[in-house]
Amino acid sequence: MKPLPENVVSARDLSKVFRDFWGRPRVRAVNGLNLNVQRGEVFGLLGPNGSGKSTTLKMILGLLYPTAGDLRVLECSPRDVAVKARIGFMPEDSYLYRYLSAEETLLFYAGLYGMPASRRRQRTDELLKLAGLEKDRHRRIGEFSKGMARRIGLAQALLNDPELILLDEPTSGLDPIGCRQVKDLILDLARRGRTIIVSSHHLADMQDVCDRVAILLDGRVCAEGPVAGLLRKSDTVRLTLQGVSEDKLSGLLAYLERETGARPQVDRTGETLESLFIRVVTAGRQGAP
Amino acid sequence: MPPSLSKFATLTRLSVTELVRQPICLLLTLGATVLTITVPLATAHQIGQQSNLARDSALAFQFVIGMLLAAHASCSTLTAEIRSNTALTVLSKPVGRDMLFAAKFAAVAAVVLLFGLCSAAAGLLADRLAPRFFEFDALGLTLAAAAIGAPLAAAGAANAFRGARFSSTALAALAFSLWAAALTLAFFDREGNPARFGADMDWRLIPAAALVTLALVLLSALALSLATRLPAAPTAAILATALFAGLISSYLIAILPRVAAARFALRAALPDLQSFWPADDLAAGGPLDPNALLRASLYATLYTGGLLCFGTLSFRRRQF
Amino acid sequence: MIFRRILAVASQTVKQAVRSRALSSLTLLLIAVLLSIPFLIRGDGTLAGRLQIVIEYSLAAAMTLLSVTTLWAAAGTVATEIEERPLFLVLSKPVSRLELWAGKWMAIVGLDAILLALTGGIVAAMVFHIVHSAPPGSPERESVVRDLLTAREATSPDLSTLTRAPAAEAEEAAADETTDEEDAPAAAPAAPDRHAILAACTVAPNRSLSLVFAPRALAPAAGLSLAFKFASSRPERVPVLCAWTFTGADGRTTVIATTNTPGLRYTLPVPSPAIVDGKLNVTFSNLGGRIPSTVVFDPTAGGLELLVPQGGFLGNLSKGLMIALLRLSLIAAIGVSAGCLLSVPVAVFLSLFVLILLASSGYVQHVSATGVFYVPHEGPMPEQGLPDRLTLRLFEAINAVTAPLLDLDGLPLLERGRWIGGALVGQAAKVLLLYTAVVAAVGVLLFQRREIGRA
Repeated sequence: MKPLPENVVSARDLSKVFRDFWGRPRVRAVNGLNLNVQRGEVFGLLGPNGSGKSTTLKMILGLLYPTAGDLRVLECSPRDVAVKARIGFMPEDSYLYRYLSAEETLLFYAGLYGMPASRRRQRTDELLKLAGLEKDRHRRIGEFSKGMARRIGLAQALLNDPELILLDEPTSGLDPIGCRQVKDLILDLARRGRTIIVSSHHLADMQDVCDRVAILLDGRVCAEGPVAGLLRKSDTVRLTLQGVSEDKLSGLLAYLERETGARPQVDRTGETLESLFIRVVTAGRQGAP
Repeated sequence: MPPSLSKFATLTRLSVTELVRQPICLLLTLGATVLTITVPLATAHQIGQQSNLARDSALAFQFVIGMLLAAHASCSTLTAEIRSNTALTVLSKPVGRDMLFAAKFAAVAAVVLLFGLCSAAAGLLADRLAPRFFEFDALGLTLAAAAIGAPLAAAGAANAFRGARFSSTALAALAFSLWAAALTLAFFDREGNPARFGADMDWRLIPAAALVTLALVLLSALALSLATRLPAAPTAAILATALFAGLISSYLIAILPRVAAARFALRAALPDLQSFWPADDLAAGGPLDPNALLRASLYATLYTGGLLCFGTLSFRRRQF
Repeated sequence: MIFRRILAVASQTVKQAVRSRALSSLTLLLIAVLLSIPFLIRGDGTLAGRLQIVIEYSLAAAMTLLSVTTLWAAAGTVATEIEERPLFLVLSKPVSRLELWAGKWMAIVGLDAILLALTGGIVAAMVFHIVHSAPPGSPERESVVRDLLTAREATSPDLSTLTRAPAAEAEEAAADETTDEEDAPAAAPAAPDRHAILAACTVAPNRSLSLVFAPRALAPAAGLSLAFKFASSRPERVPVLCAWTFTGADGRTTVIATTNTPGLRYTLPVPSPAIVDGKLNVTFSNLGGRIPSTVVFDPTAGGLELLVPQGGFLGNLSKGLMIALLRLSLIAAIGVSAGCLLSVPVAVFLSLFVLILLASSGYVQHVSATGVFYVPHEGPMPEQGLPDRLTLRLFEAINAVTAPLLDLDGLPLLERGRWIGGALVGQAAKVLLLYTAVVAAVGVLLFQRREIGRA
């Protein structure tokens, strides 16, 4: 397998204009986008609806063709069929075949990767287990709930153990445990050197997993950089203290107020709703007969 | 307007809009119109039979293509909406299943009526265009060509300059232009000279087209009732079988063994579409029998009502 | 690996067709059509008539149904998946548009093959049921088995050797004062153009015509028949007394006398010793009748044919269905290509239009060859205006494309009990697969330029 380039995805002045039947420009979905996704990072694409995130992903996949500019994926043209053997894609909606079962769906897509039969079977079993759908393997996709369909969507994206993974709203429709599992999976894949591009409206999830993010607006990048760097307020510091008595805390706060001239804000941290949910449900399932 | 009627009107209007915006409605209607009008031109060699051929062809195209339209409209408006959960969104509002089903039928019937309107006008034009001894009605040809081309051009212009939907605009414009052409032609004779209004037009084609339209409405009810349970392919297959069997129902009943119960069951089950085929009466000359028209209308109403009852019951029990 | 991907797409398409009940609906409809037609069309009630209805009408109806549904399914399978978006995911995999096209096409053709096999099975079963309904050994059954269920290769007479009877007859005719001008024997044709052939095959009362048949392959001289049909110089169809003289290798002649009505088709068994060096020499004599009339054979339109048994009904049916499958393959290619480019209804309509065009290729060829759309029964030919001339050019262009596809159909031969040769199957395979490849190439090329993920 060819080694991954430093810039796995590279876009220069990328533009996409949708035209109507008469050839007149209708929508400028992407407008001079400049983007570099580096090897091994988890890159987040953020933006309001209509900012060009999905269009950018589709251009990376070669489903849409740029109107202007240059786009390289793994140093190849996105329209190169061979490069898709190194890419996995999880779409926003379930673009799955309703009449196939979960197992047949994975076997079908594995066939498209040209996998031999034994390897197809093996990967299908592994991914059904990963997606938690082993007991539903023979059920048709048309009968699945949205969450189950999303899991199969994720499973098929990982069939070929891709080097570049595109995830469009990966946690949409999943319960908090499912969200946690997906986020853990993303981090695990990143640790194993995979490059991941995630597009999502769930900002908290993006903050948990992404190394770098780009915020798109009207088809161009209006903010880009490492998450930590973007979120840091240079003039604000948060201290986390454990096992401090009320007296000592009062003393510390008074000292800080004298030194800084402003009363520090005090929050008593507790659990997040997500961690409470996971804790309660997990305990309940373990305790269930 | 009472609230229930208002809801019914809203649902029907929405469904009609959805249907006419689909290109297939325009394509089927345009296809039927073009075929109806061009058949006389291709059968110029059938001396003495051109008019019969033109009329029979017009009615046949209306029947067959209308059946396809009914099947598509029913499946599109019900089966597809159930599958995509759009119907659920509607039923989550204070709208009963009976009302939804009735509104869907009204929408399909409206589209079929619009199709019938276009077919009737096309039939009138086709009959006028049927050449007598290779003499073509030049004015008729011009008006017919304009009646087909103008709506498409107008819809294109409306789409280009005002962003209007091409399919629905073209369909409405087609109905208007066909009737405008037919009524204009009624003021002239075959040589293009002014004449008494309607002197050279076979106005019997209007009630004939209306009869066929009634049959299509009946088939629409069958298609819609089937669409509550079946996907598109089996619905279309059963509808085609019903059309074929209905047209030869008397013959089928006659070749059955003489078992009264079986004959009764077949007579009740099979729609007697022969009553809606007026080609033989048109060929015989003279006006269509008003009593026959009335009987056919009554039969269509009762049969359609029966089918809708079955369909409503089926839809009520359908789980999503 | 390429084939694996194509097979994956094809098997998914087949599963889709089966599980959406489209295939089962079509199968039931097909069976209903095949089984109902013999009940609905009575014909003349004879064994041959009933068989003709099954072979001609049932097969034709099945082919029409399969052509339209193939087209609909082919156009719909890709177009629907683009509209409903599963194709976004498929094309995000390492699958080229060509492989996708090929997989869809293969699935449609595969399903067609199964349905054609079912059609063939049902037709064969119906045929044998009808034949066995007649008492064994009955003349009707024997005639039907010989004329319809034996695949016979038709050979026309050697047109270059069409001659009259010995010169003595010509001298007699010249000396005969009562001979009408129209009954005078015509001169032998110098070159085999149609008018000359007709003239050569015109036989006045008390005149003869010698024919030589050189069939391509001759089974040991058993079961040969001579099929003929002639027109008469009289408007009323008065029976003509005919004599057929077969000359064997040993010089012995066999004469078979028949009384035949003009316009009807007849079959005459050929006595086996009449074959000499692989050729059949036969002389037809017009012996007149109650009201003598001149007869005219048209060998270019099957008016004189030597029928040589080459095989049985089942083999012939198989070959006919094979050619039908090749035709459906072309229709499927047209549908899939249209579906790759256009939305569902537009793709279906465009494909139907192309299908209608192909079905009208006979008329298109006729207009292109004659240069006129119709011939008035009286009066001068109407002047061709600019629309007529433009339409004629269009017809000629269409004919250039559709002409090679004419006559590549085994079913008309099957209906007449004619042998479908390997050459015809080969020719059909060559031409139809070439056309399919061209349609595929154009379709895939345009598909590659199409953006699938449009907002």
